[in-house]
Amino acid sequence: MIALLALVAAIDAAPAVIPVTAVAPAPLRDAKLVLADYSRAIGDQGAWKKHRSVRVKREVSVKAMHFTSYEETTIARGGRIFSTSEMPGMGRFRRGSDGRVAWSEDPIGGLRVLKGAEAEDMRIAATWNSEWRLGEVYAKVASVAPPVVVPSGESWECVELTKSQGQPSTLCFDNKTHLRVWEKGVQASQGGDVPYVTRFSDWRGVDGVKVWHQEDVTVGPVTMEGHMVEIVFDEPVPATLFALPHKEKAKRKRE
Amino acid sequence: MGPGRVRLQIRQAIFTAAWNAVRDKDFDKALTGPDWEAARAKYQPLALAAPDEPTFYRLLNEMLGGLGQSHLEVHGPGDEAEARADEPEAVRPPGSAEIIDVGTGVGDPGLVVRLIEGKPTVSWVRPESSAARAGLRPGYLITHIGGRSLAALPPSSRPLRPVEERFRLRRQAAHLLSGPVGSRVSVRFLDGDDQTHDAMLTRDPPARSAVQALLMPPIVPEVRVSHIGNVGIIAFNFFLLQPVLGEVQKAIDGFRRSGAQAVILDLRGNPGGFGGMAIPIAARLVSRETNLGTIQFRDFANNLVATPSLDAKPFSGKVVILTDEGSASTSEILAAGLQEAKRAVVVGDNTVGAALGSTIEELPGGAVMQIPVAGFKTPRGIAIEGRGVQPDHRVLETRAALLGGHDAVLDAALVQARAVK
Repeated sequence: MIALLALVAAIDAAPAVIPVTAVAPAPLRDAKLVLADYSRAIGDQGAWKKHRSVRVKREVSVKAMHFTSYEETTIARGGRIFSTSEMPGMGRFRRGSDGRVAWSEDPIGGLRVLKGAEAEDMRIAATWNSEWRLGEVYAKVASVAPPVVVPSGESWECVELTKSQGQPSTLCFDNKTHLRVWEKGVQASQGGDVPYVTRFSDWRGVDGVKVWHQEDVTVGPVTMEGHMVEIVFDEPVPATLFALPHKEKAKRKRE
Repeated sequence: MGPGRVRLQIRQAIFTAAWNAVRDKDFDKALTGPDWEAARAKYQPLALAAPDEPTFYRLLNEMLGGLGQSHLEVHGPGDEAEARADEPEAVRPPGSAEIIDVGTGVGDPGLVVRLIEGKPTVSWVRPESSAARAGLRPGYLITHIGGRSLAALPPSSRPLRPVEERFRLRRQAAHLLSGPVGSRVSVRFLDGDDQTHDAMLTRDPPARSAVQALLMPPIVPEVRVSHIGNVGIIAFNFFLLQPVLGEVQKAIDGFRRSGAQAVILDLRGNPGGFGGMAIPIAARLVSRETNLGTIQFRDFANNLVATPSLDAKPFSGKVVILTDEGSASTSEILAAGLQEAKRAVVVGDNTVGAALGSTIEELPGGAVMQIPVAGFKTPRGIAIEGRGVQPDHRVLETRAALLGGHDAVLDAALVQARAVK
């Protein structure tokens, strides 16, 4: 893609009678170096390492449809995650993993145990300090050219992240700040793969590290905006929060 | 800048946004090539120069209608639906000087009008409603609502199939009948002996609160649960995740616990709603993972997979689904999916064939657009859009049966429900 763009730019800039040599794209840096720059850019992992859990609240809106909702996600050490959102007119959507069993519960899919690529997506989302460990969290990382036309005035370095199951995603970082700016991926779902593209922006310092506060996510025909509302560390978190809900119900019944 | 200029700018913004939305989001890329450019070249000057807003929206919808898709239309300030309320002569009951309201409120006098044997016919009257008090009965013919002849409805924005014409008449009649609670609407009707009568009906308050989800108009959810002998019957008017889904699931669970032999899902007149809601209803009726079909977006496809929830037992008895020309969209997805999976028998009339996934989005100037962003095919690859669901047992309602107090479709469904495998 970059090579094609360079060629087009050269043709535009020069008379057609002058032989043109396409400018070769800059060689790609090793993915591990790109990810290491990102780790440094977002701050000291030690600052994050001192925490045991984090709860993140986001406002999610689809402006064209007058839709707004809030999503709260708690991630804790041990690969545990719990996410919940109440969608107006739709009901409660929850998903989680206690580090062993990944599950989801919503009005459409009901209560399910996640398997395969869906479980792998959840494992990645639940990994503590994953932003500093992308090279370990994914089965394989490799540098790639930006898969889309880079916006004017920007320069990106991109890395393809391959999961142990499911489709790979591509993460692109700004060449100057080394912060993540763009992601193209595929979310596994019960009905199949759902491709998405996310643009990250509004990076702010939180307890010694940088966190993006705005996401613009395009999923098929729908464009969503996500705004960070709250980030809270080390709240008391009951272990049952992350567990498959029917286990809780069964336990309560026995008691 | 005069008002003419402002109006022109608003029209330009609405037109461009609608045209772009189709180009960028319509699920069928093939429709939005050179022909779509030609459509803009033809309709843009006409629409911008329209003498009034109803004509502007009619031309815009005519352009969209050229694509031949359901779920594709634009409404906005000043379109025909709004303009009607400003036309006193249009809402004057025949033989009456009284002017009454026609609007978009949630009141209605309690009757369903359908095209049966080619004539607008009352197919259902809500007990104790204004219509019931006025003596209207199933099988009566309706000639006028609010002074409007049902034989002279405004033209459609695109050529319609016969089943779509019937679907449209049903919707138009419902629209004319609905309005602000307490307002009145006239009807002229022929009774069982074909004697003409005029009645002034009051739009009754809804039995429960209306729901407004996303940019859809307010909907009064209605779930009717009953049983005839050992057969449970569930009818609902719209696929709303809240509150309809929970009530339908609860009804199915109740019939399972009571050992019902069969469940009849009455989807007659149900125009759809949240497409994904076909999944959790089907999941209460299947014992293993069942694919209801494929939703094809512009660049990817997803299957509608119904899996029994871990915290609920599915109903394992017979399932019969009732359909008619008013069953659309999610109703068709659910009926087609369970029919093809051999999990349900479909009884009634062909459905309208309007099974596309859509979004409803705001355009500039207060206009609202519904855009089809996904097609639907059954697991065998049959597109329901433009074709409809073909019942296993086609049963047509007749005026004579309605006058005789019979629901021929339900009677046929009960036979299927009670038949031994």
